[in-house]
Amino acid sequence: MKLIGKLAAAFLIALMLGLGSAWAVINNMLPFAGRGGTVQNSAWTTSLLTGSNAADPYTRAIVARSGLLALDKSETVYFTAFTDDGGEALQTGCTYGISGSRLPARWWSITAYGADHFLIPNEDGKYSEDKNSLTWLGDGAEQRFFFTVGPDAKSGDFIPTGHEEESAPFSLTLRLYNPEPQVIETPGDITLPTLTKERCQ
Amino acid sequence: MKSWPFWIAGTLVLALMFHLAAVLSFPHVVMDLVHQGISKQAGGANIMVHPPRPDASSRGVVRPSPDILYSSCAFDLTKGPVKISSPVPESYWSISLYASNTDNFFTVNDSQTRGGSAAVILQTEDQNPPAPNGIPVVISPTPKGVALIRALIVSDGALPEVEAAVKQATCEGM
Repeated sequence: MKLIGKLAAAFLIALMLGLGSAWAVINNMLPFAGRGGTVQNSAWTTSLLTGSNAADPYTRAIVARSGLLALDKSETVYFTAFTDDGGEALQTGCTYGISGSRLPARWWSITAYGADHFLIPNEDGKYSEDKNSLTWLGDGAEQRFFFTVGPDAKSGDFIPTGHEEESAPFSLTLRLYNPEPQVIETPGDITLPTLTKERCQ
Repeated sequence: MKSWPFWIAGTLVLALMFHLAAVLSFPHVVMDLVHQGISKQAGGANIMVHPPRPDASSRGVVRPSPDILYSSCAFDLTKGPVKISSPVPESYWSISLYASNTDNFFTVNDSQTRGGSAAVILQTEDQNPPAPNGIPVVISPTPKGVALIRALIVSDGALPEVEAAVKQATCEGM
């Protein structure tokens, strides 16, 4: 009887450890696993393995959780930010200024997602800004855009993060459709939009 | 003799096996759910569905783009090849095909097509498609999977036009 008890305990502990660690990896909570091909560019991270057949089992599992049915890098390169430029987690209760210049792709957009990886409910039904929807300031190659992301973002270009009672983490995804070669060759060196925290509630 | 080191080692090895099994099977389980979800919406496999533009209530696939209209088809090649065809609008558009382990094994976009429409015949390695008539044949690594058509909504004003175009996209057993 003692042996059966011990075996059952070992089995349960192994099950919890095994499934718990797998869940942690799949949710990208561990810094080491599945990081092959991951590139950091300021606050933004991308994995050029997303959507490709060369993806290792860890990348494939992470993509199945947070980027299922993604496109391969020649169609779209996805950059995701979970933090601002200061390295602090993006929070729906804070307001951020996002600024940048022309991006090397045929078309691009920036979308906000809640902690559940779905679009954040808000009164305006507005979830993204893109190359065509933004107001461009200045001329030629010097042209810049600026928009705000936050609970009370209402003027100019903006993405609202809703009015949930408690501030929750959120993330931003920048999609570059049909990116220029430099995006795939040196994703860590291209200039991406800046994410500056302006204020918190 | 002390037995606890063996117990710890055994538990860790078993934990590692559970870990690997979970990581390896997760993509298949998720794809299976997506396949079932799309089939249910469409009323069966090999039928294209045209859900509305994604918003905060969309729960089909994680991180949907609100600027894209997605049409999808849960394909099943066990009874024969499947033909997917779609009109190609003026702005960004693509058909991408995903195997049952989530791998994106084929994509074609608007700039690679001509004449305002596109089609592919999807089959497994051992199938012989009926005369393709110049339509490209794509081999699927797994008999089941998902075809996804993306059409960019360039502006809110362009929505009706893009919607009308992608609604004509079809998926049919041959």
